[in-house]
Amino acid sequence: MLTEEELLQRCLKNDKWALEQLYKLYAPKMFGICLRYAKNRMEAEDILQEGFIKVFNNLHCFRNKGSFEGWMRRTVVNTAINHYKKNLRHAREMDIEEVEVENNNELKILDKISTDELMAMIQQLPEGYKVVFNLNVIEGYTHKMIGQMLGISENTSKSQLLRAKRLLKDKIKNYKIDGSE
Amino acid sequence: MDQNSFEHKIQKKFEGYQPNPPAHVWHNILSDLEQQRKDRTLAGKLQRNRTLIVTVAAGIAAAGLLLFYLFNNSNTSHKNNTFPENTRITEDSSDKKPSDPENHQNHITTDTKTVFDSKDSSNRTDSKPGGENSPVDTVKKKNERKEQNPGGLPLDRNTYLREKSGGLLTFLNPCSLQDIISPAQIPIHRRLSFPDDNRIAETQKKHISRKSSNLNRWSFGLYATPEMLMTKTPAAGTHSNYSADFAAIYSINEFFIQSGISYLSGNSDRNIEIDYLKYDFLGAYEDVYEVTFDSTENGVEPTYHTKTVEVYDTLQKQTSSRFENDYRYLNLPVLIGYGRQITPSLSLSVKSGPIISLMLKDSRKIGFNQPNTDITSMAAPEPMAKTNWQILFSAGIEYRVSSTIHFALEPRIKYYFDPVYNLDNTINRKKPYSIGVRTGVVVDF
Repeated sequence: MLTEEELLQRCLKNDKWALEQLYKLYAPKMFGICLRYAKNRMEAEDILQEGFIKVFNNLHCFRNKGSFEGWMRRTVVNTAINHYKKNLRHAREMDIEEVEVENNNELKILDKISTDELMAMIQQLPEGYKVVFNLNVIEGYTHKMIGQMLGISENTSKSQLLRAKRLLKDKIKNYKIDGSE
Repeated sequence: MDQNSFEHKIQKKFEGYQPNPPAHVWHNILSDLEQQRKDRTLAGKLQRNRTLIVTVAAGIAAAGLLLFYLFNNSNTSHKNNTFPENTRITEDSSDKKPSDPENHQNHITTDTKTVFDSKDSSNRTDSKPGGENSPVDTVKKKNERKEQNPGGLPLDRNTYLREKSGGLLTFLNPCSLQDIISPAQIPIHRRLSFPDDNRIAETQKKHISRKSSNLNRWSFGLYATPEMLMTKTPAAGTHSNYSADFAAIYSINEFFIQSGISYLSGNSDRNIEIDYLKYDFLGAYEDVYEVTFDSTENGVEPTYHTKTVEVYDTLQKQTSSRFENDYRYLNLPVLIGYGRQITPSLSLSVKSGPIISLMLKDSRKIGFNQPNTDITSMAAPEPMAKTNWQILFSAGIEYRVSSTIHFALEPRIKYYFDPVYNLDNTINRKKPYSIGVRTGVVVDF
């Protein structure tokens, strides 16, 4: 059994078997990330493909200073952001004048929803909202960092997150209604 | 963060979420990596070293030009020096005077023999002494000819050949004789050992001078080229380009070097899918953002500062819309070619070389123009590349309408070293090619 470092060394020598092993090891996790940023499964596959090609082409840049999975995850997220930027043409600056009020009902419903169903709801979010939501809520980036990554203001990032959450909660509420019918 | 918060629950949902990607993704990755490896080996090397390649190609062309020029000059000079006025190069009669008729006769005899020996060499093996083409017969013919000459003067070679050809060869000089008789068949010292040296030397000088000026010449051309750019990226589609070219051509013998300037105008026009948010106006209200208090005679009075806030309902929609991309480039080619005349009026040529394109303008116009909407995503390609290197291969035909003007028709293919768009991902970095037909008029100087 090869260690991760040995596997990477073999990948650096362009060993196809090693590349495939590395792909098999991380592809499911990365595909999960891609799905969250994509509109649909096909787009997620494109992002995954681009992301892995970037990873394989830049393996020599990984210095074993941190976790390889973390490095790969950042590469894939950056690929997804590039994908989003490529499609982005207009972004509306919005003031934050809304205060989010959490409703316990939504949280209860959320417990009952499967991950695939939640994924489908996130995928349906508008592009800008979805990216900010993923970066902030799942990846844990601050609004300042998100603003720098996406080329938007911190306030825009905050307002897009609020709108994303509101839309998502609406979808969750609707899910309950649909489910009860 | 509150452990029961919405965000936390979402995070928990995605912990350990590992869906399996379809198998074809790995195959696509492998084939893409393989393609990249191939690109790196050949085109990649070309692309990375394109500046070096262009420099080397230009250097070779310049060196070739210089060498040819030097060689041509020295050759012309050598030929001229070989025939100073009043000088003859002869094999066996350098001590004899040019005006001596016998000497002329001897020369003609020798030369005529050479001519017949050379031209009829295949027959000569079968000839017998006293046969039709035997040296004896040749001498007899020579004597008959001498008798037919009313002035009793010996015939020079030109006169002889003119008669021999039945008047077809109305003008002959040593060079045209070389055209009739292969130079390999006649040693140079014999070819040049004719009487009337001054006239021949002058003729030859003129001929060499004329030939030299014809070989090295400048031409200028004006062309128009419609072409199709195949991007190989489905989203980018096919582009139509039109270019107007001015070219300067320097010909050296049958080779030529061509450069110039070309103005290219192109466009692509297609439908793209657009996702957008539609804001339906629901109403507006005045929002108080500040209250100030002023002291008046009636006491303190508040002033409310408000701003109008419009309220919209948002709907996610999708539509198909027209997308136009107009661009202008300045092209600078350096081409090296080879041309060959097939008939007096037709010639064929091939040429190849690098072209650099510099963007002058790129305008992108979306037909989507609905009020109160925001585009959230659009399947439109990135802006065009600012610069682009290409390599051109062309085969052409030229029809000469006068001694200096000819029309050209050149089918051509250009391979792009870079993608035509500024795509920052690896999947769509397809390098396009274009196919076009260049037509124009060329003037020789």
